[in-house]
Amino acid sequence: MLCPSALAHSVHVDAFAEGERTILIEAYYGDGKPVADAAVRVLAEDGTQVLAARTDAQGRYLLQPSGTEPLTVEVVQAGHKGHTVIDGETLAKVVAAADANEGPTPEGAQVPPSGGPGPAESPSSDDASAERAGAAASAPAAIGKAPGPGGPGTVAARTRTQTPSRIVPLIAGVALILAAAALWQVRVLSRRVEQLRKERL
Amino acid sequence: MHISDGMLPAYAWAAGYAVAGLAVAVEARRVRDRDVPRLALLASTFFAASLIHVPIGPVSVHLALNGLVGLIAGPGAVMVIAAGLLLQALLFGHGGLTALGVNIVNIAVPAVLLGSLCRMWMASLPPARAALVAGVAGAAIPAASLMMVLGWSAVASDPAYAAGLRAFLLGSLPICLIEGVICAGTISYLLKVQPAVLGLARGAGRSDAVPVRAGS
Repeated sequence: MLCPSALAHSVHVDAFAEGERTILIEAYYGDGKPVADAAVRVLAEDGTQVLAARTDAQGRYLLQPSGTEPLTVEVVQAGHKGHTVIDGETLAKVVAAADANEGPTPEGAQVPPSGGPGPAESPSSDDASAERAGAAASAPAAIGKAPGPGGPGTVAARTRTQTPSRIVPLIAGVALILAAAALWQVRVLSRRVEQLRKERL
Repeated sequence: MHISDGMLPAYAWAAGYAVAGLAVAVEARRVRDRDVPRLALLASTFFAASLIHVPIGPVSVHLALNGLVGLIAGPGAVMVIAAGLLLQALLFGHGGLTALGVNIVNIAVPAVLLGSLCRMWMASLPPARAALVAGVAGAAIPAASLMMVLGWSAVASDPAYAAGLRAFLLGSLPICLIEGVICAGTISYLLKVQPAVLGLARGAGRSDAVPVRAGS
């Protein structure tokens, strides 16, 4: 019965800037298994849906943002839902990376890390980049486009989270419960001691 | 069977919190001091059981064990479940803090009602029959919780989610059978070795209740 690969049921969604106007969305359950073939919804700040797609077998989806407005990415499967927010700064970096490296770049091409734009570069021309994105990314939802395994993103939106350990929260939780019960017992005992003392007086 | 955050409209989770808060408050006043260690052990078990998951089809379903909690703790189950769910939400990310109240209601209400009833019934049964009742209750209680979640899905603010949830709930009904087996096994074992843990009134034909030491 004791299946160690537990901690299903919490869906985690991570976003990694892969450079070149591409953000890798990765969804996995708490036990590290990918949330495969799940509905992906990208929402604008005001909650309107920007696009809907599905994750691939690895729980991945390549998002090609065109603007720099913060986006919320939701992944829903079988009654479980996770989400992440991609902030404007990250989007600006990715879009700017594409702008700086303009021209037809072969897919999976590595952006030289040194040539990567610094965070100081402002999201100069939103409208222009949006236009270009519209032209370049014929379909903004590029499903199943396998992200290059070897090509780490130039700008990491966030550090890649490890599959969370299950043992630590498990022990912490049990310890908390037992500590609460112990405190209760201490309270009961101190009350009893008080009573005894009064009786003796 | 945890409902996640952001799935239900605000009034639904507010109502869940109101009911759950009331129930926990009432029960916290009522609880006897000597029951607290027992409840804490149960809460630890309940908390950890959600990590034991069973793959059923494409998704995996985890144990709830709210049937066992209800049978052992009776009305105290609401505190056990509230504590367990709070920690599951905080430490494991199951469900979520806004949905906590609703989840407590879903999981604790069948446990308290059915559990208390079956406890009373079990007290008057011979051990073998009591274990059978425990098995049936152990399966029926999580099934009832699943049905309550199904009910909530009718008011879900996200129709796509509700549809997925319904499919998931039906798919996870088999877990109830597993829970029933676990429950029957645990209860029959406890009846044999440590009936005091169950806190049942001394059943007919059972004279092996804990001997009470005359205090001096």
